[in-house]
Amino acid sequence: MTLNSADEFSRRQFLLNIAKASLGVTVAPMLGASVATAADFVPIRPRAAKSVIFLMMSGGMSHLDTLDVMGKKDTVLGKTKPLATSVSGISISENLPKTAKQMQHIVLFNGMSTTQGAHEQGQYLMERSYIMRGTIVHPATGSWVVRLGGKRNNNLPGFVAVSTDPNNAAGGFMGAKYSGVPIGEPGEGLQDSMKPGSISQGDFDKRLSLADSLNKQFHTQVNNSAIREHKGLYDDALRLMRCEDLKAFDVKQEPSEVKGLYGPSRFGQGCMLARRLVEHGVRYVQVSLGGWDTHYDNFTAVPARAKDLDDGLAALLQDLHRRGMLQDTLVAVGTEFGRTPEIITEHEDGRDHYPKAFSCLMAGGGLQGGRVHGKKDDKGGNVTDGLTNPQDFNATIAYSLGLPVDQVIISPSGRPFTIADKGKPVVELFS
Amino acid sequence: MSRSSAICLSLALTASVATAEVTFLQVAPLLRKSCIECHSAPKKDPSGKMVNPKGGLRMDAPSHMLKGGSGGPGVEPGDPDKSLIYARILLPPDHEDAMPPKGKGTPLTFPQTELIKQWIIEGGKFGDWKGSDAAATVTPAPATTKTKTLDPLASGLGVPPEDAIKKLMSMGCVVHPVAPDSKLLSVAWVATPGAVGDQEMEFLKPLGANISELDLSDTKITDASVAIIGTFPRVTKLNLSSTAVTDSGIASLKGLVNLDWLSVHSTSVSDASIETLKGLRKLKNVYLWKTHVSSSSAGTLQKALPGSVVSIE
Repeated sequence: MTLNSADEFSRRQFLLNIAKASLGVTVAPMLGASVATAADFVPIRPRAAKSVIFLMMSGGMSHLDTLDVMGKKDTVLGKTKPLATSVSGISISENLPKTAKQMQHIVLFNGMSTTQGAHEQGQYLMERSYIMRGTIVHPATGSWVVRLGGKRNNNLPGFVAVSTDPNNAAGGFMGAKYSGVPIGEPGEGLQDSMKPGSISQGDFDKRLSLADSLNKQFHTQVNNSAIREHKGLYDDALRLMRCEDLKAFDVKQEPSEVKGLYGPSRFGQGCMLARRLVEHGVRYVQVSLGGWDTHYDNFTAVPARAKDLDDGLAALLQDLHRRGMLQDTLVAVGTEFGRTPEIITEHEDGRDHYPKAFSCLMAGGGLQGGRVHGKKDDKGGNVTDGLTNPQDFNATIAYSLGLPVDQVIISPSGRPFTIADKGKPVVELFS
Repeated sequence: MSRSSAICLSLALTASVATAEVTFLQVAPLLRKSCIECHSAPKKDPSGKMVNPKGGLRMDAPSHMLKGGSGGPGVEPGDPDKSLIYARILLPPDHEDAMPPKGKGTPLTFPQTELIKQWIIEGGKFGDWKGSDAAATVTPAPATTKTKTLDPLASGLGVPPEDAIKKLMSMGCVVHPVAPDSKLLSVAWVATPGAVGDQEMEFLKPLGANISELDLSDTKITDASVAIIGTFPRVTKLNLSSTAVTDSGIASLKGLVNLDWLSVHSTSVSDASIETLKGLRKLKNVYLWKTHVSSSSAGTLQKALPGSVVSIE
């Protein structure tokens, strides 16, 4: 089916969606394959990628000081200088020197644009594909991926959120079962997942069965889905405690060469943990890096943030590639919005929020790297080609994973939702 | 459906049908839910008795719908009142001719009957749909270039045995088709790979002909297992990284002519394997990080295989 951008939703499309929503059916498998050919729908990608590592730059990453410097005027670049990359004809900011060397794997999304200019709302849209509303909490993209694509390793959570506000990785109306498992400090692994050494397995099992018997009455009296889900989480945790796959969380097992590659920062170590988790079958890992809200002193603050991003991202791409994992793993760098082309001198050369035009990137996951999708004008203030909104970006993630972007899930309140709202995947970027 | 949402829907539909043409694609789901079960080609019921379409009306192809049944044409383009499929769904539920009959098919709501009416008024066009008219020549769903290249590989291939798939999945192995409806499988031992060794290969054998992608990285398999993999004719992607595979194991892969992706990183594979790999003419991606393969041999291999990328780090 055709998926229109958010700006215009055709009447026919509207009708079709009503039919689907009110009947709870998808049209494609109906009456033989030939009906499906009548519609111009997005096919499911064969031999799809298996996992996603989503690196969230929270605070609003300044596109002009990181990913989009090509053909920009000196007046908007300020102190930022372009740097040639491993792909001829493509340059990015000198704040990302290691990333520049991995450009053969990367697709720059320089046509990004969002409707949300405040942090919370902007992050919500980027991470969930829907506009924030008072009446419902939409699931995070990671929750969708696990819901539609299933887990690959039943012993581990399907969705892990590293250094990320748990609210930003919540399962929303899908419930706790689909929420991202939070990891605060990547170096410390999964907290409280080990049985204390002084307690024997027999004692441990006895305590568990005591807890069960204490809970039993409550679980019988209050038998609703939230309670059942939490019980399910306990069962998952217990299975994990007894399983060799728990070592996926233990970054201490990495050789020092690899630890050094990712750099000492919490974000770098988070990227390394993300690779370990994906290696063990986790479907979706989000690692967040804050501090991009550079209203003041942009040209000192951005290089400092960019260093952590550069170390972590470049190491991740290099490490995934040499392990042969990059084709099966989509790495995405997202942010809620960009920052103004105007440099605000009275704020020690700061930049303010700028939702109208910004930049993100993707690498691996079946994408043909070394390319730029979308373009802004020479001031970096208007998208002139390849307009991509956060919903399109997330639809592209779903497409990479071979997930159906038109699969409707009905919320408990009876309303229809899809993984990337009305986002349209950029199919032509895939090889 | 609640009354208020029904009103909402009907308003939306009335507003919409005024300008947009209703396509068969919108009508089809309704017919499937409410009509097709009784109105299709004669078929045998579970007891083996032949069941003819009710009222002689078949709705599984455009020609049958236009021809109609004993009561008249199913669809009379432009005239809903003469079209049986519309006239009968309008009857009050307790009428003896009302469709769908009580307890069979899903009753249609007012907005849904309006949608069917509008479709008939606009000519009752079926678009590309041929239904059973197309018989054996059903048009396949649009395929990307990748599925097309997969097709020859799957030709003559049977459906993989379901019990073998279920058994593997119960053991922590992930098994799924490489594309929707494909008979080719992607198999990855993701959960607790450290507990998987040569003895588990028995469970892969029944699927050997169907396996296209195989990931046994981090498992405890040895060259004995690799020799079995060498007999799986359709393997295109093979991940043996961090296993005990050696050059003699690689030698047993020489028959995998479809192989286009191979990772043996973190193994003891050495320059001795280069000759075997050179013979696998479809290889496009080879991963040799942390092996005993020298960078010059890796370079030789990349040159010998046109269009390939041999990665050593």
